[in-house]
Amino acid sequence: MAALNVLMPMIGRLIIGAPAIALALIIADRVVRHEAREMIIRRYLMLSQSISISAGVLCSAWVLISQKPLEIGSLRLISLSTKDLSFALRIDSLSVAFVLITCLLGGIVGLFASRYLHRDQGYFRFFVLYHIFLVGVHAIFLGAGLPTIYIGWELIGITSALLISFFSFRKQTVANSLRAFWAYRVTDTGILVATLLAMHSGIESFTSSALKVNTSHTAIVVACLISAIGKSAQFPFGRWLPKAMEGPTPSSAIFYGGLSVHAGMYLMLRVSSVYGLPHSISLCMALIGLFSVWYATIVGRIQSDAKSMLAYASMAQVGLMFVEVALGLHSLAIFHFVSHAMLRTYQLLNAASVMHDRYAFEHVLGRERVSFHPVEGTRAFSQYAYAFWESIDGAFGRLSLLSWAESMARSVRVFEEWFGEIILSLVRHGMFYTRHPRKWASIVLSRLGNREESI
Amino acid sequence: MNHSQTSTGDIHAILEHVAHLLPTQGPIDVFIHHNTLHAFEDLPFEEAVKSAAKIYDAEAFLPEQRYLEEFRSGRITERDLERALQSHSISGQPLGDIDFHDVVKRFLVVAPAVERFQEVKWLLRESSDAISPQLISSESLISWLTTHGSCINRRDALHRLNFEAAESLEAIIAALPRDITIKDHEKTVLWAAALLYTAEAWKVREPSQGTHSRIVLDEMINPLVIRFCEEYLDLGFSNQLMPDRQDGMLACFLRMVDVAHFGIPRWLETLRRSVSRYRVAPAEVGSLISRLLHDLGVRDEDRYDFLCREALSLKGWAGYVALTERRPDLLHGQESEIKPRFQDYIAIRLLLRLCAEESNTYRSRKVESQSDSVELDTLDQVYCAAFHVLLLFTSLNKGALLLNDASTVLPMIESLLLIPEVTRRTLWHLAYENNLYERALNTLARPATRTKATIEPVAQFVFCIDDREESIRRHLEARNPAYETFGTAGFFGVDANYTMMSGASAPYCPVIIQPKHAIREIPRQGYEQDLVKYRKKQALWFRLSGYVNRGSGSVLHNMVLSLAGCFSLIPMVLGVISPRTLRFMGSVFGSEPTIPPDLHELQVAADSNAQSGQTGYTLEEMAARVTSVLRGIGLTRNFAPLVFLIGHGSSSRNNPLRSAYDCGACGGRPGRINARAFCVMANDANVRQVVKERYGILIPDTTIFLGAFHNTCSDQMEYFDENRCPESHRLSLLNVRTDLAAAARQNAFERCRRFVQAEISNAEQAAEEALARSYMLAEARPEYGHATNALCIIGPRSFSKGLFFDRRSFLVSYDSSIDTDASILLGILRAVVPVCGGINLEYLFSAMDNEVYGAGTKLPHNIVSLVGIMNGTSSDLRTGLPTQMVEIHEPVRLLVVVVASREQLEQVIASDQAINRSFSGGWIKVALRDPETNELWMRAQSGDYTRFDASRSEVPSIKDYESWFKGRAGHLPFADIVEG
Repeated sequence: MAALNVLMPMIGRLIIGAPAIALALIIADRVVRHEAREMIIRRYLMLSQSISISAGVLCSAWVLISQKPLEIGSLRLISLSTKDLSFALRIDSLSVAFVLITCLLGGIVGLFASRYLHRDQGYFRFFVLYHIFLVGVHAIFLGAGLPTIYIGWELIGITSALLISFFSFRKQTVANSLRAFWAYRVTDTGILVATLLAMHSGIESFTSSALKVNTSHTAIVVACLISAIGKSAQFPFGRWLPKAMEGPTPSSAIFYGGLSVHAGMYLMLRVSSVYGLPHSISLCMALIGLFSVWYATIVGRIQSDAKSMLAYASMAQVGLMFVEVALGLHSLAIFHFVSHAMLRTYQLLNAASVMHDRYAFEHVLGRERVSFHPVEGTRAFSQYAYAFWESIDGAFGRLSLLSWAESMARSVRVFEEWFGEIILSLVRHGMFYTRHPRKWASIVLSRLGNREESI
Repeated sequence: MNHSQTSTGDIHAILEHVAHLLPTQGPIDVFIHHNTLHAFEDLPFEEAVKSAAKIYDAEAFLPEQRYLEEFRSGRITERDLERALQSHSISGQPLGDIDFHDVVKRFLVVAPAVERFQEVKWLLRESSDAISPQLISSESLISWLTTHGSCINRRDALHRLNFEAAESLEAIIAALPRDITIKDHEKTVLWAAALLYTAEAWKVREPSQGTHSRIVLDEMINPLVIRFCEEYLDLGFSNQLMPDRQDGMLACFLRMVDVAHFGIPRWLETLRRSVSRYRVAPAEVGSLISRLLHDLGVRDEDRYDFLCREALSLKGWAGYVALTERRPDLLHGQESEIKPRFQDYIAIRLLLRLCAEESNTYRSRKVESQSDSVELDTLDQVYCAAFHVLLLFTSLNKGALLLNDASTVLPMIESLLLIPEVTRRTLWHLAYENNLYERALNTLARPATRTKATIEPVAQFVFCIDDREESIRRHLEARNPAYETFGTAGFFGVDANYTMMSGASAPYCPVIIQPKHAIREIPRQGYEQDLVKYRKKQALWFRLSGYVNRGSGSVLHNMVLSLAGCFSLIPMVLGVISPRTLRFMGSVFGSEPTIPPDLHELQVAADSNAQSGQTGYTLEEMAARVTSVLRGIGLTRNFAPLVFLIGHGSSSRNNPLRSAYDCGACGGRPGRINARAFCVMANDANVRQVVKERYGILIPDTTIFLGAFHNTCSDQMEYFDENRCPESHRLSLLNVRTDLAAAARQNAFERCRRFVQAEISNAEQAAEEALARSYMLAEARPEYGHATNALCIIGPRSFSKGLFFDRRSFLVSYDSSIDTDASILLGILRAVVPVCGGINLEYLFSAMDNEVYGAGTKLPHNIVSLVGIMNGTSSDLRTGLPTQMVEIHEPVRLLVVVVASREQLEQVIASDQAINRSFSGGWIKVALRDPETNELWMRAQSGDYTRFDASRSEVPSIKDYESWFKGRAGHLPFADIVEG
């Protein structure tokens, strides 16, 4: 047992150490050989990912069995007279799921990319950035204090921007990358302020949590919330997300379906459990989440390309997670994250198979539109639920169109595009339902009755 | 108003012209290969490439460096270059005792791999320490400098060359005329100066067109146009489609602007306020455009250019709009709702441009002033040209001699430098093509003596003419000499709409044919229950997978879905790590979209009590189709007991262009149905009776036709209706199936050598790799498609049997001896020219400039509106083929070799406009092999024939195919298999 107590932290270090070493080896090979060798990069990737996954599984099992956090270690970065700035890592019950998913998705998407990017000129560049990203994500999820999280936060920010502009010979990609970069820059001040505040009060480490709520705690949480909003693409900083789908598909999948987009929600989960979440802030957070859900759903419904549609779907689900965190439903939020990360990564990796689906649908089901009722048994239930939801959706849309949005939005020029899109889609809903009340009624009715006749 | 009245007619004419320049690619669920430069078909090929390059701002031919690499690797030889020069009229004075053509040849060959003078300097400086391979040819210059000049050593020579050429030009040019007796080391300087002097004259004269402001404005307009087109043209992808689309594009757009009180950018405010001014009836759009052009300050004579640039700014979307306006049938039956109109599209763009210009004049002016970088480029070109000429003279080893004779040399240099880059590229390209053609003809010159007609055929196989079937045919023939193979267009004459059990229907025939008949999927007797069960399972699976892949538009649903989403880990992990397990699991759950052939049948014959609508074939129609296929391939007697009709298609995952890999002759769909339907017809005793009586072809009762399907990606075979096979044929059927499976494995082995990532050492591994690829989630190149196409051989198989054509040839069976009036050849060429020619030219142009003519790299591709693909979430619709499909392609024009008499060929060419245009314009090269004399003739574009003297000694002889291709990744030389 004692031996294990010594051994486990060392294994824990491998989780983040393996990708870091792989990164160093890949760069070293390039420098020595003057060429990027795909096979070598692929091998380092697979080796480091297997090590990382095994270490992640072992450590998670240890944490779950022993029911206490595992301190992995701490590296002093800067030593000041009064204070040390250290890179400290630990796994506890809160982060265990995040670490596991990171290892898993990191491995799968890495393997996917190593094949998908075959013969691409930027193969080396992609994998360097990919490994930096993995180190960054691990730093966030394993971080035992705000400074560590901050370092990881910046690493994934910069790699995200660089991968959006991966095809930098196209102008649009660079413009969109800059846009994401600016959103990060602006909101990252939040976590920087939070880190400095926490260090100033000596509470930057998450272990010393048995403190009462006080003003500096509140300030830290508020500052973190700002950063979380930016990273997780919530209102009002989320417009960069659909534009960020310019890089190679695997990077879009792991950043905006899998990991990066959930980092903000994790940060809130973490700081709210350490520093507490005052009611006013939790209300604020829930509202932001709800608004993002509403916005992303409505705008997402009118998207007509695969990746934008998935980007908005991500935004909406992360918004729901914000609400869950704000309500204190931590277990639900974590489960939601696990499931959503897997689903969205898969959907994005698989986004190019729309045409296959269409071909198959033609053969199997004729030319009807994609059905929303997969399981025969639950069909009746889901039909009622859907009809109910649809009617609320519609009513909400019309209500807002008439009273609220019209008067308010004109004054808020700053958020031009946000409001613009909402209004546009609302108008479209409104136009549709008010012009065709019968059609609307028939849709609702057909949902209740015989579905085959719909649209 | 009068002004716009008069010119509306012009506007329509101009728009028609402009629309003609746009790509014509419909919704990509059916990908039809066609000539990318169809708008230029009336011009000769080389002219067309040049003018298209100007209009689309594309590359004409490949970059010179690429050809140089091919030259160094031996793919292009000096002899090829000589031939190209002879065929191309370039003239100039000879240089001393050296012929001008020789000089040009050397000039092409020594082209340096630099683009900027900084690089020249750098190269010279760097190579003083270690000569880089690119500068090997300048070695002689350096030695000359060190021996004849006053330079002490190499380093000094290089330094001098570098320094003097770069720094003291002006002074030297001024000093040039009076300098007669100069010292040796100064001659170097003189050289550089003289070269630069002439180069100055050659300087690119194209003025910069001030297009910067246009680009800035385009950046404002295009995102809006893209978003609007995406939504308007959506074929059913988004959850909430745009309402009231039947009002037309312009009306919808204006309504969007009108109701968007907050949502539009500030620069569109003016448009919103005056929206009613632009609401016009559809017939008035022409005059609206004319009015807008007037407001934009476009002069009447500039209208065409202006509208051209407007349309080409997003040529993918514009082309799609123009195409679907002409062909509303491509809109999947939604033509009553979606009304694309090119005029509307242009009007929308002009409206936006007007607003953008009004709001943004200051910005564009600022950008226009910064255009001096162009001149810098020109100067760089001049330096590089000088360096190029310097390399030429050193390689000619005439430096010393020529130095003293500036009066003849200078005009010479000038005429060399006056050869435009595109001409140099053309020369290279001709040489590049010529090399391949000569090798192919040398191989084909083998005397066709191997007519072992004495062997009774055991089985005959009719494949598609597809180049991908060339290899499997070879491997099949190698297994048993009593196997005969044929090639004919893969729809096997079955030109019908296929009505699936789901009720959907699609044409399974070449796009040029409008089917008049319908073939139905009907349940097989005795299996109705199984079928119902299977279809239920299938429907469940596809609903589920559609739901998981896409989600839905409701929050509640998405939340439930994402809470249950952890199950998607299974397909994700398996799809990346073990696609075969995924395939197995899929087969358990019914993940194949097609219904197993055991459970259903095809109703081919006309149904007398059918309801209205299309119906099947009558007896006579069936007999006519069977006969035309059999006569076309020359199979009119000597039938084997088993005749296989093998359609082909390709299965892949996660591939937006899946249809581009399927059978082109079946309209971009898999050829299962066609093969099966043909066999149903040909096995019918009544049909055979009619065939015998009317057409005189006796199909013996012992002969049975069997349908099969070859998956060109996974190299799996499927068989249909084997239960119809009588007991007497069972054993030989079993043998044939074994051989076919083995040939498919060999085929996979031959294919896999192209995939660099795959480490394959035997056929079994290769078969597994091929199968895995077709199910791999992470595979960007499930197969290489037609990437190796280059040839088309029309003639009896006896002429090409046993020749290794490296999957590079379409093979069409044709027997000229039974084709007295050349009608069969006409039919074949009518199919070959658009289908094979279209495939070839699409690959050629996509490889020539992948960003303009092709779709760019696949990695960021995104499917939009079920219409096409974009890069990321806001780009032009990408047409053509992606990098991953053409990366190994050698862009050469198709060489059609016809085994027929000259009269037959000329008769066909004279009788068909399209064939004539393709051949005379040089879009397709033609050669002829006379079946009597066995002589080979090349047909020039003018229609003259030149005899080709083959040298058979250059064709390698090989023992078997496997040892020839094993372990070699690149294109292989054509070879001849020696028997024994």
